[in-house]
Amino acid sequence: MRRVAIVGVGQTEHRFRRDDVTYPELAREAVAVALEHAGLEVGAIEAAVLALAPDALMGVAHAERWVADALGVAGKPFMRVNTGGSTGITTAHAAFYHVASGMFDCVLAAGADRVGESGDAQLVLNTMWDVLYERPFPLNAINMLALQAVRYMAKYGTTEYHMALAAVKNRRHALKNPHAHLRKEVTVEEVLASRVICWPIKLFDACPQSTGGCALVLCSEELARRLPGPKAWIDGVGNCAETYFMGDRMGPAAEHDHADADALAEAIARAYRQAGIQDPRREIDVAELYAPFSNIELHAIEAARLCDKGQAGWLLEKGEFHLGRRQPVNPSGGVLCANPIAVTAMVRVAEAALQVMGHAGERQVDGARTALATGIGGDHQFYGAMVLRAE
Amino acid sequence: MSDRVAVVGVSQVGYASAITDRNLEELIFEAASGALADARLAWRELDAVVIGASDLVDGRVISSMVTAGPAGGYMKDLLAVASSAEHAFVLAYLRLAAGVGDTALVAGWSKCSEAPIPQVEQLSLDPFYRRHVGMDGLVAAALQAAAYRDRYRVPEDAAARVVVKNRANGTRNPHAERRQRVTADDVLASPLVAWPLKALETPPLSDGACALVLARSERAGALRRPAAWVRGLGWASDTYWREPEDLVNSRALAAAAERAYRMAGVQAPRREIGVAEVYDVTPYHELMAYEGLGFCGPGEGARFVGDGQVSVNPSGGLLCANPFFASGLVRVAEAVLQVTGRAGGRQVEGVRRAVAHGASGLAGQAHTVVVLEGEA
Amino acid sequence: MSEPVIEIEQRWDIHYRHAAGETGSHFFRALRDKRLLGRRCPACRRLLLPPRGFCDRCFVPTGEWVEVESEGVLEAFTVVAQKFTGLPDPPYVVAYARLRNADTAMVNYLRGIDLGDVRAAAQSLAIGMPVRVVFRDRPEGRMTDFWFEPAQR
Repeated sequence: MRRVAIVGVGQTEHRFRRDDVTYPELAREAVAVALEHAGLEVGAIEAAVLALAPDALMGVAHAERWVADALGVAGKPFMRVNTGGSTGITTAHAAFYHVASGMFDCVLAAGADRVGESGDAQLVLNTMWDVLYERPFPLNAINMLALQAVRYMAKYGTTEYHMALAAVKNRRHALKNPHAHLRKEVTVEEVLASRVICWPIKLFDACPQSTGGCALVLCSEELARRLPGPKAWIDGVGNCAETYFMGDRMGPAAEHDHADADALAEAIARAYRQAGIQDPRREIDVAELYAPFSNIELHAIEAARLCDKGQAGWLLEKGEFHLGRRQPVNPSGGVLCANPIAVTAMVRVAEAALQVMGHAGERQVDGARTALATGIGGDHQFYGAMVLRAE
Repeated sequence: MSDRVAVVGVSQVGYASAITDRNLEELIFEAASGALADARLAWRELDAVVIGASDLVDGRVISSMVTAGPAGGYMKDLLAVASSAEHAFVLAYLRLAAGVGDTALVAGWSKCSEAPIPQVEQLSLDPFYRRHVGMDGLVAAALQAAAYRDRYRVPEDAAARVVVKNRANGTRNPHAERRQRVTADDVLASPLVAWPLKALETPPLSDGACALVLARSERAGALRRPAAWVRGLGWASDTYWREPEDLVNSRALAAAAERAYRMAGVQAPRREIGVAEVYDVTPYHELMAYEGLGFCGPGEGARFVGDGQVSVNPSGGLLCANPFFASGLVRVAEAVLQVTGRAGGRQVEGVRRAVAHGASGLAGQAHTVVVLEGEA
Repeated sequence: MSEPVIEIEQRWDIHYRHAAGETGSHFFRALRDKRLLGRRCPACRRLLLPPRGFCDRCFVPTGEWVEVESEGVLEAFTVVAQKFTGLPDPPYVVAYARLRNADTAMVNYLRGIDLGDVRAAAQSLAIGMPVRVVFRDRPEGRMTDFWFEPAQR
């Protein structure tokens, strides 16, 4: 397979709202940063892939049409990917295939979201569920993962305290990330005392609704070698789709338990296999794992095989996975500190790329050479993973 | 590189004005399992699934969720494209051309009977400058048709002749929703919808699903099925804000065709292409496609109708069946059937190369062109 | 550049009519008789509830209809304490329960418990807890015809 590198990374600041720009302008802002980072002009882009999750959250149907001009793709190949929360990473995968196929040397993956502009996000997200059997009930993106937390706690004997540890770690990390939306430290006590949203998920266990953009420039090896800056080589990509019905992930006949993230583990295993990674505990230097609620980070760490199933909470208690320790998870602060839905999973790739490029500023993990990024979409259904390496 | 990926399985379910005995998922399951059966490929051996899903057409947020399973996605490497179903075909091709996996299934569908399609199209207008205009896909198409007629002084009967031809072709396609012939007089006498478009010059809105199985060269050979090799592929977007003069002779179609032909080594399309399945959302769009695909020069579309060298839309095209979001993918499926000699009553004799053309977006903002070739 | 920005308010009002198909219609008709019907996969033998026309895990059409018992166990739950625009007023319990002869769990409300204190209510529930299906007096063939309640052991 042809080697592909990320040569440019761009992010806007993530905030609740950005009233000073429209959606296309916001996406363009991220693209401009990525192009500058890559040292390329927009004319160098041969094709583009847009990350845009639910149309209804943007309030414009097929808004890929609207944003095309801002991305400068007139007359060029352009498509849009949507796999819900994992859209950002599946878009990066699509861009990777554009280059790896040999058809293109320089491809843009980009997007933006404005979740803060939709007043009814959870009502909109309720329409994810089966129109016959499940939509009559108030399922939403928060309570679907509260269901996971309850099963995880019952299976492994952890408590809300262990969830809180993930939130505390990520909030602390976000202090070092100028792009993060939530940049205020919290204590375990504050997390546990914060108001219940969908038990056991409380306010400080949850991600914010963010507005922000992200862009990546991907190049073939031939072109990348001609660019002076550092590269993040895409050495492994993998996806895996779970069942749609969450109830199929419960009980003795289930192939996987909703408590765990076995399909995420499979997506990551596919990426590891491609990258030749055999012992992730030794070989992964830093991981940006998609986790919109504190409980999700626990089983995401386990799915990445950074520890055994059920162990992540106990290891967090010992201070593992913090910046400064051997295998930091979410040094950016993660999804818990910024969630611009369409690009949230692309931000994981962007942050992982910055780490292996040595461009992660205050949140840099010393000597990071191999990084893992993941995304999760749908009702814990679509999983994506990418392994990035320095030269 | 271009000889490495082939389409080895095809299935179409529908098309009809309303399919109510099967829900959306069951419709997709039927198409996907049909394509796998056609390819003689066991589902467990399938490597990847790429679906083309529109939230607004399907009436579900992240509609890839409910549709992934019936498309065979469980525990597979699945990607979901939201701009058009033909883009899902493109992405599946790219994945295989990159050497990742040996097989991929592509699926597209629409249940237009369940969705307010004009409203969906109108909601794609930006909320600041355009949303207040009562424009849907048909009105945007009418703007193009009017501009094209005006620029090239196209005689009214040219459009009618395209309709007559495609409706006659549709009688030979068991998947067509409209399977009755019409005369030019019928077309000209049908009521005006949006000037210059008359009712018989507009497509139906259909229910149905379409699935294809793609395989890399060695695997394609091992399946021992009639293979349609993907020789050329091009796709491009135009601007969202187009000037009136951009409504005719789409630069996106020109760019897509140029890339596909260059990749396939096609230099004289009219001589080298036997069949074209084009996106005839109106007969004027078929005329514009003749020009965009290089079968004739700009403004010469009217004279090309019924050309003896390239058979255009032997399936009857969108004017006979239009499962909206999947209609571009259906063009690919029909072109595959033609080059593998499996098009039944609508088979064009001796077709070695075919071109498929899909479009999406208001006034055809995005275009895709695929060149397919049968075995020598 | 300190001019105030203008906001354009937009509201979507868009209607769909989704066909339940023959499988779904059969299930909903049986609900009117207070019966829950699942469908079995001929390959993995799982009894799928809610019923589907195919099994996504084996990728085959499902076969026989089987009536599902009205008692089972709680498989997952959450107590919702926050109001979401357009969704019901809290508190309420969203639960998945697996009925005795079914192999999958199904979503519904869990009723019949004290929700005065959300945290205490959550502590009173546990995965594996016995639950039963309770139908309303005059079912109309909708998922909201029934709900779950704790059952006596």
